[in-house]
Amino acid sequence: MIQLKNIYKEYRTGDIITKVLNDICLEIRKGEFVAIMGASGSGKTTLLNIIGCMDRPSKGEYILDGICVNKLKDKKLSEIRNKKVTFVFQNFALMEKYTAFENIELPLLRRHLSLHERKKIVTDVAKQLGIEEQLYKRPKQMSGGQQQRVAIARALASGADIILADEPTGALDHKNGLEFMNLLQQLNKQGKTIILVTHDKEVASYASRTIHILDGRILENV
Amino acid sequence: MDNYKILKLNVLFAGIVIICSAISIISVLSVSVLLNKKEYGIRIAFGYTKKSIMKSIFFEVLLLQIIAVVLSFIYVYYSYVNSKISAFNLIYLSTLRTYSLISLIVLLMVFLAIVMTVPLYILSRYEPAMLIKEEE
Repeated sequence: MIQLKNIYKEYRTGDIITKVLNDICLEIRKGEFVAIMGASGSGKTTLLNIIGCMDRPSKGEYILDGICVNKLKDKKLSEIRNKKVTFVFQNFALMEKYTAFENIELPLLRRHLSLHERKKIVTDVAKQLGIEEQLYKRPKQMSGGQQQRVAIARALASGADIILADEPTGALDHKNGLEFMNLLQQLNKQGKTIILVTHDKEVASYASRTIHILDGRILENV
Repeated sequence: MDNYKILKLNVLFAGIVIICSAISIISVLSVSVLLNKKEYGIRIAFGYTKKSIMKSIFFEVLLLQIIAVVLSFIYVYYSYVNSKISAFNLIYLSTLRTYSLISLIVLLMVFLAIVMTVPLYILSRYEPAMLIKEEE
């Protein structure tokens, strides 16, 4: 389903070239729960951004469901981000100005759905995650755990099959972190592909496969 | 002072006002783009394109400018209508209805193009991943 072939990523600042990813070859099948582990600066978030079409590789091929993604134009990439892959970020990445409902509704706004249809999807997802009482609150009025649930509700509302989570428990306390990981595990059992970036071994233990990255190279894939 | 000198001073004053307002609008828009960077990044992560975000910023500013132009046009027009009737007033009014209106629309478009360049350039420099990352 996800195939990365000899992926390189480098950033240029004037004459200085920083190599972030070095010859990454990876395959992730549909329905897998994969953890990407590595120290800070090892390139794991960059790899996740490439998988999520938020960034393009400098060299190499990224094939998603048989389509070579790195040759696609911005519009097609945005369609992939809207329908095929979705994100859960460390700091929740909720829009402060908007309510939980409006945040969850975000991926649906690009789909020409009526307000009634959007409301139904958002309410269903909120019920599933137990946050229907929080729907008209703004992020600042919610606890960290509730905010992370809103973030995952937004990911689920998109209906995407691949959930990319970048240090999703990083801003949560231990109890909420475990709850969140159980939630991810449940979603994985329902058929969602989950790719998780973490440096926490306990968090990674929920995954069925762990990939270790060091200095932009895959060290271990077990 | 003769009328020609007064007119020249008026044009100079209007030019200075336009330049000053362009600078202040550019600054406000640039700061607004930088402050909303995270929101743009989030929108991009969930299916928006950078182009669609730029378009929405453009139309937001266009709408505000249209409102400003319409209000100022109505104010100037009625201040001439309500002032003492004179030959000058009649000329001013007919000029307002014809040449001034067209010039105003052209000026609005040029002004909009100038003030939008800097904030849109700032936004275009960021990769989608950087828009969210920078805030974290």
